[in-house]
Amino acid sequence: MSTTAGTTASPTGLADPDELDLRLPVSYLADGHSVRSWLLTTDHKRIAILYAITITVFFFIGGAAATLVRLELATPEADVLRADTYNKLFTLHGVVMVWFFLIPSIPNTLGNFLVPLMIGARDVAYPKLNLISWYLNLGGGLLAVAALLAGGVDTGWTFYVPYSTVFSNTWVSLTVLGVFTTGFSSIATGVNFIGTVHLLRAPGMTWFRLPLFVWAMYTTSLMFVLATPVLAVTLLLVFAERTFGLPIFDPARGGDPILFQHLFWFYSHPAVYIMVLPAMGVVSELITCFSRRKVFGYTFMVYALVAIAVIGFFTWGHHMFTSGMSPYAALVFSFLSFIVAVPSAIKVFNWTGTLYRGQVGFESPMLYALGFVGLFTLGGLTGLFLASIPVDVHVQDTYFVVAHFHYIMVGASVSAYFGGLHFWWPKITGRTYPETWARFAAILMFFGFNLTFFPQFIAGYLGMPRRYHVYPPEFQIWNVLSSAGAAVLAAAYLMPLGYLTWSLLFGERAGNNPWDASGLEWRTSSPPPRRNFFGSPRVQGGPYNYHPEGVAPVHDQPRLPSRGSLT
Amino acid sequence: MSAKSPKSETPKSEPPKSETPDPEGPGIVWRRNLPVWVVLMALLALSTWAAYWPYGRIDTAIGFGIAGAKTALVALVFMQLKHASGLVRIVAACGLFWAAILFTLTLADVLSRMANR
Amino acid sequence: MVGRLMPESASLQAVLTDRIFIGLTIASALILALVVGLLLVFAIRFRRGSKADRHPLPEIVSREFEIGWTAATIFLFVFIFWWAASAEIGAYSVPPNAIEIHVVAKQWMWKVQGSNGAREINELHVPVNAPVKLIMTSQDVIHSFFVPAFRLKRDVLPDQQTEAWFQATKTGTFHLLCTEYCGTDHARMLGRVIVMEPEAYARWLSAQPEGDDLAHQGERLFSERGCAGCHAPGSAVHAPSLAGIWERPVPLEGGRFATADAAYLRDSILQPGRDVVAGYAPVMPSYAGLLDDGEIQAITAYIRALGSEPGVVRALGTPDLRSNVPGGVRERSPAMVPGAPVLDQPGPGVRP
Repeated sequence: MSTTAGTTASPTGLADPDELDLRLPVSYLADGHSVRSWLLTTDHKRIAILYAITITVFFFIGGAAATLVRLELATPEADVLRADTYNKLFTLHGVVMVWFFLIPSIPNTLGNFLVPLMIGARDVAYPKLNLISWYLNLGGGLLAVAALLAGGVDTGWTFYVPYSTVFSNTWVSLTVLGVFTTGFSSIATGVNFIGTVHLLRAPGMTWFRLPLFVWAMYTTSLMFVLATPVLAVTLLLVFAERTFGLPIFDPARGGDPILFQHLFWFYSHPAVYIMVLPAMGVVSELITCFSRRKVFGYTFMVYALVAIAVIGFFTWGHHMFTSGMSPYAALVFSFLSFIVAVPSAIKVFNWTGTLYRGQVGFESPMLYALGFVGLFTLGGLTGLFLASIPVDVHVQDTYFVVAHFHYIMVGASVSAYFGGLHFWWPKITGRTYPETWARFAAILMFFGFNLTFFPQFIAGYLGMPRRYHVYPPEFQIWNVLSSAGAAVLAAAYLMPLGYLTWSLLFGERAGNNPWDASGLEWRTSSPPPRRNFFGSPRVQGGPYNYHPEGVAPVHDQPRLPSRGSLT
Repeated sequence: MSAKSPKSETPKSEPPKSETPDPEGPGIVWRRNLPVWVVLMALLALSTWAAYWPYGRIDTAIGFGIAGAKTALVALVFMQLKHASGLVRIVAACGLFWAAILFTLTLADVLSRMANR
Repeated sequence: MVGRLMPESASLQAVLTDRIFIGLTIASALILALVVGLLLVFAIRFRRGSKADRHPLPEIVSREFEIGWTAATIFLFVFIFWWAASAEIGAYSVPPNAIEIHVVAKQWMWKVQGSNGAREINELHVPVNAPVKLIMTSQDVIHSFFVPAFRLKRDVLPDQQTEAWFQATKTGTFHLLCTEYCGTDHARMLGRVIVMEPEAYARWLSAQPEGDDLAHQGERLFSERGCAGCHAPGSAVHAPSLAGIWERPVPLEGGRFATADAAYLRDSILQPGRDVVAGYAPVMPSYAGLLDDGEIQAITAYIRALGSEPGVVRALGTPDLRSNVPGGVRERSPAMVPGAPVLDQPGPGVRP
């Protein structure tokens, strides 16, 4: 297996084989080519790839639903879809995007791949459980797709009773079972990450030397384990009432529909933090690398992650201010919702401060990260509007809320997902992608996103309700702007699909550390071997050692080959 | 693959500082956990039957009692909290604390609605 | 045409809400400008290869900055909470002289009934500058009564009553929208709120078809549907008298007490076996399916009109039959009464 320097004849695909022992283990991608070796793998890296494939499929299913929705909403009348079809489509969009795309996106793809690498471990703590969690996710997704093919479900992703238990004639039970199954995938992942971070850190990797991405995965896993069982039981109650006729939420038999809302939102509010905390972890990695600086205020950043995860459990009532809840409870929830915004604000200031006196580069992952900070700030600020009860009474269940959560879930989380995907793409696949296309896609995504969702704030305050497929004509201008933006956004999402796939086949091979980043994952080959490291990593300092103490930062450039670009 | 085993396999790197008893073989695991599951199913059947008893408030008490029995069974036998260290027990108790958040704030809503006459 | 950026402001609450909204918008714009501005300034000034000064920051500065902006954020957010909360608390106390309107929502229409008997479908006529209290219930799923011009929204729940109030400050016609997803034609469940000058309103009212007010309708229903057969004085059947029970405590089987409010009356009509009055046999038939929500509201209004006199003593006999309802009896979750109970007379010190 001798190689000549600079060629890519070696099966490991290393650009720098002289650095290493010649008897190299093969990369995890080359370690077995059969379908069985993929579908029965216990390698966390392969499981991450499996997840990436399934969430991409679900992303495009959910995106197709959104495309039809925005097409219909371009005019005030119903000229594309019937009412029932429209209702099923927005429900599909919500269910698929939340449970089958966003919640697994960063934790199960980037988290699965990177957490063991970042802490210097050979795999996660429970590798077989990891594989089971993928199958549970896939099983739940297939149930949801089965519900779609059988005719769909039209309750909205929130399954409010008594509509979902008594009145809806659609495939509620099947969908609910699908979400129930996928919930266990989340719980298994959470257990796995908690075990991994507690037990498998390399010698010298103390808790306060962990990269913020690992802290983010850890706190997200705590939320997975504490919140998802409540969703599982609540959905089981809905299933029981619908299928067996048990009197649980039915008000005619003494039940309280508001109880369902309490139970549902007790999970679903931490779920939104589950969707955003991993994104914050990714952004911390990107901003530090592309400013060539330690993160500003590492300790506060860690405590902010923990604070968001904990306080986030106390705020769910802000989804229910107009529901008939008691006004005293409403005040308590409003206050707590303001408090939970404080740690997020701290993180935004710290990211901004990290740029100060750095060496800022504008590679595509950094563009996504900067976009994240802006969009997350705007989305978070509109959260304050929603925490204020008089304003919330006016905008609850209108497009203002839709715009708010899309700014966070799409503008922030999906941007961070794409940023992380681009940043770690060389590590995961061993290839580099065309940087110019990537930058263009990032900028297009930013503008398309704002054009899509900013007009929705205005439409919402004007009074346009959610889940309407026909609407009073005075809202049309904002809907047209939003639909136009959606077209741009769709193009921006298709571009990475194009050039990243191209890079898998024709991209230039990546070196171990094309970005000159810190972090243990960059101390192994791209892609890593099956057992992650060639030796046993040992940690001697904190994360982000981009410029050592007391030494001014050096002018440096990340070694990013720009050959292999399509331009 | 013995995928259903609830006890962790030894991780592939150096053995962790475990605070629970030594890892057991699958046989012992099944012999402890399968009876627990059977008893849980029996208690489920009992609580379903008890839900239809017409004795008024005692039904609620019975329901809570059965739930308590199930919790104790899961905690002491399945989770082996009997043999666990104090730290592990505190962490397990955190689950109850988190459920208490749900109950407290939900009841704050329901009870203050009732008090609001 | 771009149109407006904010809906018309046509109620007292709209003014308060808009003030908070604009305040928050200005604060958010400033914070966003600060963050984005700093990001841009730092990214450009400290771009790779630029000649800016890059000596390391002293540690003490970084810690004090952290504590400083954390404290500033906490104070700002707590202030905004206090400001919003004080506006909201006012919104919950209904003025005592409010016109009562009963609303029944069903898939996919609004049925509106004034206490003077005027009935409307998908429309609500109200006079300007008068407080209006909405007492709402749903016949099927959760709906939500939303008037953007009034900044008013309240969910409408099945088998419960929710309340909200508003005072319109401008005449005109305003959208009424259902804003809790309720099925196929959720988007078509539109209505109009028509605010009129007092004289025009009075003329409109008198032009409505002759209808009794709600309490008289209820009195008619009470005798037509057989309630009086047992509950009227002098009936051969031993049934509790309903005169003077409104909002009084009612002793139930097993020693508990319930308060005879709208929720209790509704339960007694639809599920009479649940909370049986102490000393009486559970022989009342259920009216579920025989009386719709509008008729139940009318009967409730009638019983309320019978007053709340104390001193109606019931003979407590030994119970001869036990309740066979599974699961036991319990207090059901009551109507949300946002700050003000349903009173016949004004409470002390309620600010309009």
